[in-house]
Amino acid sequence: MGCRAILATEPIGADAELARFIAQAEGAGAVVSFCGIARPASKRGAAVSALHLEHYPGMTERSLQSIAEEGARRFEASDVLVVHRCGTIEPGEVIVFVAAASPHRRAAFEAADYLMDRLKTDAVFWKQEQGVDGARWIEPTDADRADLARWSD
Amino acid sequence: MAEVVVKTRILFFGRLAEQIGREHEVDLPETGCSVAELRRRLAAQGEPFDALAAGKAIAAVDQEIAGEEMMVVPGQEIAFFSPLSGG
Repeated sequence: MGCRAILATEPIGADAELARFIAQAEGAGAVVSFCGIARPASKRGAAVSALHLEHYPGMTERSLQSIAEEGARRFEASDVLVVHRCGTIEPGEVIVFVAAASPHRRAAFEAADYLMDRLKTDAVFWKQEQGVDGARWIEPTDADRADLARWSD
Repeated sequence: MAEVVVKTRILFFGRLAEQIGREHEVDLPETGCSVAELRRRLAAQGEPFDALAAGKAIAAVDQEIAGEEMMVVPGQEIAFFSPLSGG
């Protein structure tokens, strides 16, 4: 089983990541991938000039790896890849890329869905929206916590 | 007998780092104390450390999320941070 997690300091090339992932997911019958993209506006509609993702060197990388491994284990995905940006991200850039491979499609869909719900609340990052009227910290919402609760045993 | 303390660096992340700074030195008992006790000692210094008393601040010891009862001793890497938000 191939399980990789990468903390990216430079823009993520999602198409190249997906092509590499498919090439190395030997024997899989299904690959599901997801891209999270920085929005140009906040939930209230204010323009966002950039996102800043602060991280905790060491702890952040381990949190990504642990989430990737748990996603692979739970859904028996043959391969899992998580690539997560840190630093300053422009609107339209990819913040997070996940991919899961499995013999049949259902497990790959579920693994990708699970990975994203875990990343939203358990990955070690602090997200700040920067706009013309200053910067605003983003914290997990009730909806994020409800999404995560779907997977509780 | 006076308590023997060791100057120990505490790390902060997220909104807390903006309020307090990225790191701060605190007197930690040589024999250690619980995360809850450390939180109380920091919060007692008043603004901006009172943000730690609110309970929303998460503690990590040696880069693992730590409960309030966990004992910390000088030499360990101790951090407090705001709720996580990735993805």
